[in-house]
Amino acid sequence: MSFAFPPSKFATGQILDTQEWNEQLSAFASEIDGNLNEHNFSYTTGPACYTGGLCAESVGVRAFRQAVAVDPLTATLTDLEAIPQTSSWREIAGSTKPFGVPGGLALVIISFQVRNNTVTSKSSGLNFCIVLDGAPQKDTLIGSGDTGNDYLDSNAAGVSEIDLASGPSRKGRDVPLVATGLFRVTPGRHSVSLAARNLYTRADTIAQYISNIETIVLHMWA
Amino acid sequence: MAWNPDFFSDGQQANLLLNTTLTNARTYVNDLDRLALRRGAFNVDMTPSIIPSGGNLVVNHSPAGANLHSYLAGTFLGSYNYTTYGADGGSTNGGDLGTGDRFLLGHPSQAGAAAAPACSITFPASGYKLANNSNSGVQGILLNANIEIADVQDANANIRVMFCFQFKIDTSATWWTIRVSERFVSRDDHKISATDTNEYMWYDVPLASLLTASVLQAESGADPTAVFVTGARVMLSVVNANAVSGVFLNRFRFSALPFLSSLA
Repeated sequence: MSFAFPPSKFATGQILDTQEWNEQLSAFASEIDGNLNEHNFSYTTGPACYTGGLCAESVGVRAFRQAVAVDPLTATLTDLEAIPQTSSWREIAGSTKPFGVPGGLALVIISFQVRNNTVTSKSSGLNFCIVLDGAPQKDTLIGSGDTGNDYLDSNAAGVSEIDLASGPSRKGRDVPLVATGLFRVTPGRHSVSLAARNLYTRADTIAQYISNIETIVLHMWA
Repeated sequence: MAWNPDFFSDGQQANLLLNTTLTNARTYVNDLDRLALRRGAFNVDMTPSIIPSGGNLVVNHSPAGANLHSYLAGTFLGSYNYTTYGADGGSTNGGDLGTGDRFLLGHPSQAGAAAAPACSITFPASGYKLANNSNSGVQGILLNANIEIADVQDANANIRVMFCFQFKIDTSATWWTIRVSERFVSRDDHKISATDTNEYMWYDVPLASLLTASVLQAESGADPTAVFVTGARVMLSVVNANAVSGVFLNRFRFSALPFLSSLA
């Protein structure tokens, strides 16, 4: 708030008591020790602080970005990140972004392209989620199926395969996806990445890939 | 660090301590550190907020899809009819996308189709520099788009569809593609069952990317300390479109969010 100083003015001829002076001084110290806000700065102060780097590291947003640009159409398969043929979570190379923050909220956005190169008929239920500090954040799960109700194994008795050639679980040969999550993080170093798992529906393996991964972390005071 | 004033004690010589105290106060105020500021002091609109501006473009057609937005060969306009990739955007890797035709999303539309605003955002004033210590303080522009595809008609089974972000800088007329934002969608029909001819599923194309100084330099070759980002847009590339084969969209939304930050 705007600071009114001194709280009370000394009158002419008044005998100055040290206690009164110290109270005046304390009011001033209290204001400038951590309570300065937008009312205490001129209109041009804000941008000057940001551009001068004085405040940018402590206010506003701190951005972290990791990207691997691969043309998903023309790249060879070795340029793409293979989706593991496993029903357990596996981190995808190229998606990992370490970041250090003084605590607060971190908005994580991971954008990527999924490509099923060789699928002609049956396919898998693919799952993706954000991994924070090594732990899959299952509330960020996207993709089709989960182990609770969609796990299909053609080798299991009494289970039939979904016809995924045009079914929702396959969702086509090329699929763009974005995983997002908002996490409260402690001060210190952290790491985010993308993890995938493959709820395989066939006994043989299916080549499915991820490319053009962009990992964005926006740290915000909150 | 916080300022601890020198308090007066009885019997002290006032003038000397007063001058010292006020001098220390002046020194402290003229060199305020973070501890002096209340958290969030600058995250208000009095000065440029941490989000100095933003753009939002929305097309929200009838849920019944009566007025779909059509991208067919007949709707190409010259200004967006790129025949090569590279300088005008898209992959520099040749391949069979080399004859792609590009549309600015939201423009154009074939006769009779729903009108829509061009999916392009122009930043206010001269735009934003993205380099450290730039005069705008903006270090990143978060781009988000969500597009709902109603259908991809593919009469010849050779159509290819791709979406991407592009940006423009003040020193060039070229729109530069953020290559990592390129997103391909399948031409395959999305149906519940392969044998059902009526159950077409509309599906979404989400795009997200962060435009930073390094991205600007990598894509345009420009010095990020010398140029301003003046706009961003969403492009659609349709290869082998013709009079009946093309992409039909229902809704899309595009937002560009410049923010003041430090960039790690």
